Amino acid sequence: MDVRFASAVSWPSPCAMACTAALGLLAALAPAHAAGTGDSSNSGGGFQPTPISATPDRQAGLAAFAQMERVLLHPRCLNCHVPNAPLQGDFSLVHYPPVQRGADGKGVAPLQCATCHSTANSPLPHAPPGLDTDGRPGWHMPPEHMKMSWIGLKGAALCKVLREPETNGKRSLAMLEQHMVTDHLVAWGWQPGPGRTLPPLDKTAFDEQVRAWIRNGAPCDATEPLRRSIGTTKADATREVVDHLRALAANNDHTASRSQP
Amino acid sequence: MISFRLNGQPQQVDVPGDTPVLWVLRDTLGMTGTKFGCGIAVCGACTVHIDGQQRRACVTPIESVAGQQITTIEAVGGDRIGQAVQEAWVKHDVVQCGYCQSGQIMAAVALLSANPKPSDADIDAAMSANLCRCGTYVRIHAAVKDAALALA
Amino acid sequence: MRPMFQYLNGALPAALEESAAAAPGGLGRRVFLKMSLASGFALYAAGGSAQEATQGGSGPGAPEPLKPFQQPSAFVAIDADGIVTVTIGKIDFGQGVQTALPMLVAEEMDADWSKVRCELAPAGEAYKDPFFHIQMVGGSTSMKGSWQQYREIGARMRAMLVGAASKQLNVPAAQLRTESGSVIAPDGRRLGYGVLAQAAFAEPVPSGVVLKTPAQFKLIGKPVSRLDARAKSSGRQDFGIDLKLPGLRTVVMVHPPVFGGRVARFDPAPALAVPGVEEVIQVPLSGGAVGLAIVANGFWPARKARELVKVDWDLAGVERVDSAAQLEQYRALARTPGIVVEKADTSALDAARPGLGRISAEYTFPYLAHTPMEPLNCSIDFRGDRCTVWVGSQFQTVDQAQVAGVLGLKPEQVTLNTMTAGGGFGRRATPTSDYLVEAAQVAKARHAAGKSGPIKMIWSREDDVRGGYYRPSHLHRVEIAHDRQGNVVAWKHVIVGQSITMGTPFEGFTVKNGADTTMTEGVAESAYPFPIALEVHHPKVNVPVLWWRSVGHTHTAFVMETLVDELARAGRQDPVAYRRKLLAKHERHIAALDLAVERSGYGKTKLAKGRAWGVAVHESFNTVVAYVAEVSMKDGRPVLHRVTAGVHCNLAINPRTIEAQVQGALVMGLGMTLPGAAITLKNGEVEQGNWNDYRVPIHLDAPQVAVFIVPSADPPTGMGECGVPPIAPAIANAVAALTGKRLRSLPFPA
Repeated sequence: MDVRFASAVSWPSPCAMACTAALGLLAALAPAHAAGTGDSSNSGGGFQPTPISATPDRQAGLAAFAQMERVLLHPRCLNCHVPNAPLQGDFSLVHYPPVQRGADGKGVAPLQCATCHSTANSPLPHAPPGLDTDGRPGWHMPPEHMKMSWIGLKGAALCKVLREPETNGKRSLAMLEQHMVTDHLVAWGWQPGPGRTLPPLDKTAFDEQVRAWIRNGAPCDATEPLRRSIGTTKADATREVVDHLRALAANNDHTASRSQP
Repeated sequence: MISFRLNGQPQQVDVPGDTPVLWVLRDTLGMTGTKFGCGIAVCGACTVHIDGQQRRACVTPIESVAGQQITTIEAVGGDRIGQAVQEAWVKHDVVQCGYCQSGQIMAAVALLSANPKPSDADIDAAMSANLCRCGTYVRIHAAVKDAALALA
Repeated sequence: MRPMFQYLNGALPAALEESAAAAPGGLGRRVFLKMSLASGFALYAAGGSAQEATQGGSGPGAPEPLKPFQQPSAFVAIDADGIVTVTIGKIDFGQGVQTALPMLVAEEMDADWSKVRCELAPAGEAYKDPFFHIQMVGGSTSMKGSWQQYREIGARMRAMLVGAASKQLNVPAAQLRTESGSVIAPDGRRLGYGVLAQAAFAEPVPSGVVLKTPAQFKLIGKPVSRLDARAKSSGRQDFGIDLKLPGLRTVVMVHPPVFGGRVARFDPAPALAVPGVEEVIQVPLSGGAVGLAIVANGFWPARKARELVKVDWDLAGVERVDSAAQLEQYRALARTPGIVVEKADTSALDAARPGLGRISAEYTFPYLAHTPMEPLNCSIDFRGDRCTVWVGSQFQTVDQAQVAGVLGLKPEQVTLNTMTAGGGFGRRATPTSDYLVEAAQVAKARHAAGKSGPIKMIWSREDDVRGGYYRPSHLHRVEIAHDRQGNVVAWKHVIVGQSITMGTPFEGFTVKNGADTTMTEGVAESAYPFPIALEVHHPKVNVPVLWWRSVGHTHTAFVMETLVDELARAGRQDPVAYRRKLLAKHERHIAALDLAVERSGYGKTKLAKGRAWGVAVHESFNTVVAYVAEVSMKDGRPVLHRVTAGVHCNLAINPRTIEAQVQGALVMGLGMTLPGAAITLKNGEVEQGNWNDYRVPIHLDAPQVAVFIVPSADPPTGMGECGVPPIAPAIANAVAALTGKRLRSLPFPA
């Protein structure tokens, strides 16, 4: 979302009031927007991203990614990181009943993900998995405009799709780590309900490999420059946006009051 | 105790929170219009509306709908879309055994609420998650189109 | 076709009684019903002789006393407001008999159709089918068998109403007429049926009655809306599973993973820890198996508990069937001499002959599960000296007898209430009464332990998909020698598959010299004049099997109609023209085929690019159905766009319910072609469990369907099943036209 208003525009005062009200709303919504896509974690300010080491080791980073890849390509993750409709089950078959992704990744009304995927896994085998996001069914895919599809990719190609903001939902490395380590839809992969295979690393080990990869410059191949910065976390990004908008609003008020006789 | 609204009326049940809405309706409250077909949300016989969204009651824990509004087949005829759908169903003699039809009607109402002018492809996409072993799909399709026309 | 009813001798009911008395608690072994009965589902004749059997007094000479199935009081009730309730002896699980049968009564009665209602009769003497002498639905016989019976009931009722009116109006009966629920005198005075009802039922019941001619029908033959449409469209129709009774307990079973398995050890503790679960008991199941019953105050606790119960199974001596191995066994069997069903000269196949072409084909078909929408269930209230059962049964007399047998009662001590069922397709007509016997065992055990109160046993969908009683798996081996015009010179045909009726009361009629006609129907009496030499093998396999909607025709029609198509093309003949020549003596086949062809545009309309026609015509259960299908290919799989159906069912009682049956049966038939529509076993365990992995047709799969009925006034033939067989071959024939590839198995490859 582009928050750069043209500051040269002078705002009439009713507009300024509306603007300030909108800012409040924006501040509340900003975490979702700043991330670029709906994120299903209850992100607070508690998350501390892993900084890049002063002496990053490319080989260690590549080895860490190779471990991450084993999880990323497991059906528990892969089934929703696809270009069209989701896949299903340990054998990544076409999802049955037939469903569509939908613009927001939550299906096409009236047959949305939440129609069958409820707030919790069922104890019955082959029932659809579920999880709870703020009391509502939280199952979804990445949206149409940011598919985050990586089926058919591996190695450097997979790594880059995951790492680059253009393909990963506009996430910095800090936000990416936050997603993989704290997002509860990601975490579902390790609590998938009866009869579903688990990813080849346990969650703690996976998180460790994520950190190791980032710490070592998040390398994807043998030659590209290592990353130097992890960027901002969601919380920080939100703060920046809100501050910026407040500054804008303050300017406009000042302008408006000056225009009164 | 878990409180929710059922067909517009307040309701309270004292059951374990993981009890699916389907069994609260059928066994606790004796409302058997919503049917059990598969238990794993793949047939649609248990379809209800929760806060206006189509949901499968067999996998929805009752504790997750605390404070929400559940609408079942018994009351779906209370609004103009539900009524149009039911009339179309009767006009086309859609039903055979009838067991899937509560779910089919709930799905059709959800479709027409979201999309008042569904194309054939829209109807196929929206209704293909509701199974019918008698094979009434041909008449379901015609009835949905007819209901859409009646509502236009 | 021979009239079958003449073999019926009423021995079945006697044998059922005998076995119930001789085998109390007869479980752990099959309840064998010894008899010489001839009653079959697979074969049934229409024709005038059917009427004679029910006339019982309508003919000239001394009138015989009326039988229970001829008494209006068992079938008709009229209240003071003139509401006419017709009680039918047939279960309705979607076929529409609860509209069509009352139509027969209402027609002859001149009832006001808007005041007609329908109820399903409990098990009872009057409701036994006059031909089969048991209360049952199957073999597409409901309307065919009831055609005379129910009209006569209506006519008798009318006569009684007129008789009562005659007294009240003081006008001779012959001068009175009836119309739309009233008796009307020449001077215009009228009395409604409601007013006359009580007096009418006090009138003597006439034995001889005159029925209307088709020209006089006001109701029969019209597209009448279903009586149950509104209730079923508003959640107000109760099914067996919806039964509510004070103190009702719900029972969920734990079945062995392999047919015939037995509980060795079990730990109920984790199950008992689930709130609402009362007890877990061990019970004998059908066929010598032993399982568990979880009893709870509702379905969910019991179902949840089932995932927690720990069981060790004793599978010693139990055959563990494997589908892949079975296929190889069937292949090997087909190469050995079998039971000869039809002899013919096959010398043209012995060596290659100049000028003769040869088709060699192997066809395979998997086990199929019925999976009706309503899971199997039954409720029992056992009081020691009597018992009430509520069940959506296609086999009331058989079920009643078997439940009685388990409980040590006589059948008449068991009241069996027929519930509306959510689909049947044959599964609710099981000679072993399998799930009812389980429920009876639970009721018996609880009663013995001093626990009172009714129980409702509900099978989960997994119980259903894994519970057996499938359409058997089959292999066909066919060798055909034909000339350049596609004329058949020799035809050698071997069919391998389990016998459905051996070991059941129906064996006496359907099994001849060890060959089961329910497997060979559609080949053995094919309308085509082919010189078929037919042999069969009936291996014994540890998988319970049963009739699945259209029974043998489910596989034989596919084989016959695709081979006919292949022969036509081998002879460079149009598939329709080829059939018309061969079926020239079969008027009904020709009529149905011509109607479908004409209305489809076949041969006239140019199809869109990438589309082809596929044709099939097949008679089953005395009705001929022809399909002309329009098919295209997408990603290597056929897409069915449109089907035009021509149906010859003699007189069409209700074109609306006929259309529904054809549309629905067509969908079920095309379901057989869908990848995943197969029950397979590995190491004795069924691999599928629910509709996630047992594929049935969805809305998207249904084509456009137009149904046309050949006009006829002959006594009606059945519509329940005949729409299933011809669709799969019609699709396969279109695929052959499009791709040159012959499909030889169902389901089609993925």
